[in-house]
Amino acid sequence: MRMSCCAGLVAVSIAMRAVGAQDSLRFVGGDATTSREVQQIIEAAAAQGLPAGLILSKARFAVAVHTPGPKIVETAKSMATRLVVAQRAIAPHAQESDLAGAEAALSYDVPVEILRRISSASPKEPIAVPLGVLTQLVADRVPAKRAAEIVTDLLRRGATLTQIAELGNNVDADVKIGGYRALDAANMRYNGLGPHLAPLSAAAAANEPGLTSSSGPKKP
Amino acid sequence: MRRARLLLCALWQFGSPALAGAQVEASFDVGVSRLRQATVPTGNSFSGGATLDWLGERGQLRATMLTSRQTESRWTGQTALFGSLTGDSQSPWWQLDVAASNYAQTSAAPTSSAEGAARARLGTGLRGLAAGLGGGVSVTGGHAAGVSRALSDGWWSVGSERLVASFGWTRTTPPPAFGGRTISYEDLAGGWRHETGVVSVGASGGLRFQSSSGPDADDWELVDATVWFAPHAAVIVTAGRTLTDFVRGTPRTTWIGASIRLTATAHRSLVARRPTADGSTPRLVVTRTSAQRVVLEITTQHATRVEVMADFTDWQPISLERGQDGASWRAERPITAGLHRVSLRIDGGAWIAPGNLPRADAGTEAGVGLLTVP
Repeated sequence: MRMSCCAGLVAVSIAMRAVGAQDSLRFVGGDATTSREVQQIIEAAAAQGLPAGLILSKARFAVAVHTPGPKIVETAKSMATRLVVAQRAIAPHAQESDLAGAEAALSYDVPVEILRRISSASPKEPIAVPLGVLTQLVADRVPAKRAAEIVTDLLRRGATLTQIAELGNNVDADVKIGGYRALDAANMRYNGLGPHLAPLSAAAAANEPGLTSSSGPKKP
Repeated sequence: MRRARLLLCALWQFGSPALAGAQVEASFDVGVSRLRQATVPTGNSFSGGATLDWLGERGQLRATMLTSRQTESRWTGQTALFGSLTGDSQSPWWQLDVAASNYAQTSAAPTSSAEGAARARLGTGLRGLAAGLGGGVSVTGGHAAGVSRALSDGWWSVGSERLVASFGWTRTTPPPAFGGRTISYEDLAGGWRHETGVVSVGASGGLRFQSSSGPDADDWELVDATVWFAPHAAVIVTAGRTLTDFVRGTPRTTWIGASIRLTATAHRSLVARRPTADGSTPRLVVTRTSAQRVVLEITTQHATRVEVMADFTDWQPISLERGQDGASWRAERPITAGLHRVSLRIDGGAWIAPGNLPRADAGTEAGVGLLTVP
């Protein structure tokens, strides 16, 4: 009797949690057709193990700024498609924030190969921050290849997440306030971090000009 | 004249990271110096040089060229190529180096050298040790001599400071102009550099000890300072004394000089460009205070209400609290690390992207900025 009571409680608990999860992913907004279609996209994404909450958040924002219904549905569909691509590109990274960063990068046409490179540059740590900065730089019109090089170099040279995030959060200000081109601003911020990090090439550490016995003192 | 302009343009473009690859930097130096060299009267010298650096994940390559006019009838020219390759990890255990050089002066036979070295490493790029062996050949006129070296280095970086020390043993047979007998000697050197990005200051020095049939014990010193006064231009001041380089054929030199360096790659500098109108939009700064919580801070004058809405507020507006200084507005919330979309509103106006953040895509996200939370 006690066993069946416990089993019943567990079953109810699981059912309640499932209902709770569904409620937390419930999209209400726009007209009935939009709501239904977006909800279907969200549920399909959740069934594939994708972070459907990201789609819901974007759809809610679209409603808040009065985006037309068909545009909301199109945005949700595109995002679900990108999440699938992102999931494959950055595996084994599977945290929601990592996938959100990869999806955002894809939305700015960052090639999948670059996502793979960043994922492999930091195989054991979350990559949400590097991917976020990558997306910021590309949004600022820094070429994706150069943006990826900056991010992967910073990862390899042991930059902290705060240092990486600050670079992404300041390049735009250098463009708007300093009047620099985005590429120049990104390179300057990157070069500015250089003295605080390991040399770009580990070889450079032992080859300070003018100091090693193999290269001899620098001449005027 | 037109050709000269095209050549300058081509050189400039060659140094551009966008075209020539990410980690390529070209720089050009012009300067004056007062120097004293063995067998040459003390005098003023005009010099010009170019340096091309290629930096990869596992290696680096530096090519330099320097020419100097010391008197009406005396010119010197020096070219050098240095390359390094390390093992494939953040803490590689081996390193291979190559160096090639050519030194020429008016009315004297040029000296060319080529060397290679292999080193075992311990540590990372921030601090570590290396030791190894190297060898090569030095040729002056018809005189060729082998070069043997034993090398050891140590490096340590803390913040903006960088310390380096090295100890090496060299054995070679210099050309007749430098004695012509087989010699060996030890060099002990140390150096410090302070690097902020805008300013770089360094000092280094060393001692050379006599060994078998070698030169007398002697010392060398070098100080230098570089200030980037504009994104593409720096002024450099150097002074020092170098010892005879028996392998590369350069004589003992004492000098003080100043030069201007021009580079295609932008650097942080003393001079910022003109502000644009968009610079007035308030900035949003984030600071992580714990594993979960983040402080959002916006500084804006004369505001009576500041609100933020973002994906981490579920797109619901939240009001920020005014700080005691009256201009800073803060809110602390749990926010995950990574990319977030955020928008702010001052005094009930339009929702806008913070001034320091790139805009999210237009369309559904107008007025939204992309924020990376550490």
